[in-house]
Amino acid sequence: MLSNRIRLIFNMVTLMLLSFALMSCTPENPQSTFDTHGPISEIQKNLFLFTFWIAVIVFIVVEGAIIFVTFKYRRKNDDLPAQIHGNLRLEITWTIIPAIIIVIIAIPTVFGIWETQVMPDEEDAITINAVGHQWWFEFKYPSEEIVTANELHLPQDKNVIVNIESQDVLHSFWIPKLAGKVDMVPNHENKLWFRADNPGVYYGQCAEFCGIVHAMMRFRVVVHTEEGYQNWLEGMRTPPKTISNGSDEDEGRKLFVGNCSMCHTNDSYKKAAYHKEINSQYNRWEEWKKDKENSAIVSAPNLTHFGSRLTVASGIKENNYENVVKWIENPDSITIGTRMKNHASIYNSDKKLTDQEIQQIAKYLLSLKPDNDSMASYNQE
Amino acid sequence: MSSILGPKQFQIPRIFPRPMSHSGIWYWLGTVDHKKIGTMYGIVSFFWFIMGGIEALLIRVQLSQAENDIISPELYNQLFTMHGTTMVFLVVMPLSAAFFNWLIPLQIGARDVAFPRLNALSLWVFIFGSILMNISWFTGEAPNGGWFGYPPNSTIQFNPGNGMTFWVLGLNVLGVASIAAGLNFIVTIINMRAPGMTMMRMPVFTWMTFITSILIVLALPILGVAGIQMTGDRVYGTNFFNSEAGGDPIFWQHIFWLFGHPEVYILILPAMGIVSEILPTFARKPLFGYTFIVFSGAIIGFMGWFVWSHHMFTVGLGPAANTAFTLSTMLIAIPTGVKIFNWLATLWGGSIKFTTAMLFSIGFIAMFTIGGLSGVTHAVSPSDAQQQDTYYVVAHFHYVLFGGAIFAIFGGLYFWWPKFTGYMLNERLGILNFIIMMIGFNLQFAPMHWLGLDGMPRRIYTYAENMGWELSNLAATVGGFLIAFSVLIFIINVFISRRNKKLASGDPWDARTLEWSISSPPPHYNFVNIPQVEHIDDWWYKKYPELLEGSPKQTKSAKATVEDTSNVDESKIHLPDLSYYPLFVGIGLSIAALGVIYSYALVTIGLILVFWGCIGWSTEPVNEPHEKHH
Repeated sequence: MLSNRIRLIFNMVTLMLLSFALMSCTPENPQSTFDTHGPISEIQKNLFLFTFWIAVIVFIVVEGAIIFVTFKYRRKNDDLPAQIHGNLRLEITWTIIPAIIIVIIAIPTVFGIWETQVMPDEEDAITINAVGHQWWFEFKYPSEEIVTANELHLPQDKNVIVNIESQDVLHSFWIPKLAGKVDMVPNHENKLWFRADNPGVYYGQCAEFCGIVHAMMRFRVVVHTEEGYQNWLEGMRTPPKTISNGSDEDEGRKLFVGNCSMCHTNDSYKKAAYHKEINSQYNRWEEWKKDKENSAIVSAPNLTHFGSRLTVASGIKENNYENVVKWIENPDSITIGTRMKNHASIYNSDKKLTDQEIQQIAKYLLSLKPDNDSMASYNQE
Repeated sequence: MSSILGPKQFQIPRIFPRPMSHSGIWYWLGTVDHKKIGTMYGIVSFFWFIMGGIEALLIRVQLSQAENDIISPELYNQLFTMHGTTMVFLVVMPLSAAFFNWLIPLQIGARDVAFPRLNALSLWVFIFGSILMNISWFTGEAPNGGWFGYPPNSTIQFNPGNGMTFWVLGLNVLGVASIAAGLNFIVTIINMRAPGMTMMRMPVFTWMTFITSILIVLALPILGVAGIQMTGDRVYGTNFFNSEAGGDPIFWQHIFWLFGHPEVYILILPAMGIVSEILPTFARKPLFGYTFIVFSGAIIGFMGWFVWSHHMFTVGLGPAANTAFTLSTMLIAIPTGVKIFNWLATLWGGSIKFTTAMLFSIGFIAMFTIGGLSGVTHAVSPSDAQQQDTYYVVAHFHYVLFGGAIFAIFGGLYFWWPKFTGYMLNERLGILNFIIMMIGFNLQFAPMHWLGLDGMPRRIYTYAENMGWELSNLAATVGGFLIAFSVLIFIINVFISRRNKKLASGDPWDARTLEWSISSPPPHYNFVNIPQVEHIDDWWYKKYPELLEGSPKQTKSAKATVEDTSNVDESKIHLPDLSYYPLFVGIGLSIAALGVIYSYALVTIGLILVFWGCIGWSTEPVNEPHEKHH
């Protein structure tokens, strides 16, 4: 009777494992670590799979032995089994076998550590500064003097060195399909390098618990062909389309200047705007630190060419009119706990914007993109 | 008797009379009996097990579908913080302590632990510390910075309010309980063993308790230091971890994990000890490779000090540090593997009876192996950069702590329940409990492996629909409720056992160690005569001395019987009287800690209680002189 029960358990476990196996193997998921598009994530995946298959063998041996033992040696009669206390030769064998397995795993691992963590030559790499903020990512291109937020643009087949830091609490910089994570730590500068082999849009997400909006702190990486990347850089230095006087966009511009521009810069396409933005961002931070409860100023994403971005609200929603209106109207409807909702004066009752004003701002923001929208080339996805 | 008590000593005046009766609430509040203390540890930590389980279920409900909004992000952060903290500090550690308390004196043939009142102190400090930490739910600001409390997110600058202050003070108070208990068991095990019980004749559970206690005594002070620094930062404006003033958040991570990794072995070694007792009993074979099991436990405990930074592979320590900690972490797989092979060899060729306790123990080996193997994949630090802070890690440590520690603890409960209470638990319900828990556990935690590899980070209160994580999360939620159901079966089983009163004999399992040589439940003095120990598994060979000669097919009828307590002159057995001072000190400590948050008046009241308790304690005689009439 008992053996039937065990068989039942065994069958159920097999069934469960099979159904789990069906759930897995989903490289098409946006953050699957199995669908790798660059050497770093490739090394990480291969090391995992190498260890995994060794673990599978050990798993089968151990679990097989458990199942064998429970069937073979269940109590059939009152006879005492042989009273064996141990066997030195066996003990030594199964001390040495795991040691050998460990050595087999350790060798490629150590090579992997140095391959992935020693930075490539800076000469033929792009250097990016990534800064974590509660709760958005700032990306700076020091050699290009370009700054953007929540969307990282890169060329394919080029080594990228990312200097990683944080302004406030711990965050983590992670693009599962391109590279494993490195934490963003205040007062420490970390480095990560990777290379993207294929153009496309990749998902990134903060992986270190950073407070109330942690779950919603995401970003996108857009990998271009070399030509597309140059177009993007060019676009980032080009002023946006001119807007006609008196249009909704123009009204929106005025409202933006009056209500949003203290924290959000949107004209970093100008010459020398890069250093100005770094200073402004620093000053906003210092301002906020003075009175964290009531400060009307906080660090906020740069909105230059916002209209060309893929997402709104740190990689949460598709960047379209409807979502931008929703976001400005009430950030809580998309993400609870944002600094914008807590600090911007437009959410105080006396300065509340009308629906029309919000729509005008949204139209203005979406109009922020260069005239010939070469940046939209990747939008086909 | 007066020679034991010495000359009449100074005693501070008593406000309450010393409790003398051996029943009722005053007895329980003043008891110094290790068995009663063990029972209270068990009941209180089981209560927190249910609370921590409810927190887990709420988390699972929230994650069961994408973009769910049943639970707010703020509450979600509080739930996972308190779930982790509760399960580590208020469940697995004190549940293990319940077993230490009940079993160590019985396994080594002693009447009590070395310091019975210190033992009571540990209990009361634990109970009030656990209440202190959970009061925060009622003030509306439960801790929300994670069980690891990483600054700067846990500093007052980024986390105003009292939540994390409750957390850090609670940990400090609980640390006092653990350190006192650790010292107590070290001294007990070294000094109080019955004559003839050499170290290498101790039961493996006693050995693992010994190693665990050493780890507790060495590791918890580290947390204490970190906790005092964090209290300073949060309450008194120091800047140990305040990055805005140049403090270093990584510094916290180092000290937290320098405590935190040995802590992992504090949680799992007692479980390994429990399993090492159950397997030989129901396989009717001695434990295979006793020496190897003991020493690999000791090596695990020792090497546990050299691996802390594997929790920090992604904080940017650089390739040299990552290589060192990768290698040291991998090394731990060796003694762990040795243990697993030895347990298998114990079963091999045995005559296995599938009681509930045995099923849980075999389940422990099966599940712990999975946790150990996923641990090796973490040790590979390049691929850990993808796994760190994802659900893959959540899966890993639940296989170790639930599939490992909790399975073993349930096995231990079913195994020693007759010894603890004198009544048998129902085996059919027990087997049902095991099967449902096994299925629920795997349904909950196995899918988390691929959730993690599929890029789902930990500690997110929701996720978008297009991420492809819904099916696995739903499965995990269903599994969580199955586990809850299996725990409910256990509780029902306990109540049925109390109602049916199916009496247990002193040695219902034909077991091997000394605790089974006395009646169930044991008398308050444990042993009528302190046993003379000649072998490992001494009770087994006292029953069947012919097994020492060779390997017969059958045992003859048992040569030894459970001690008869009908004609015992209890006045000849020296045991300490009750004391309420440990309770005072325990309450006082928590009141003082609460005062750090609210008012110096409370600190003063708390400290007065502590000092009063300490002085009263140190001046009261072990026994009231008038008690002894002979």
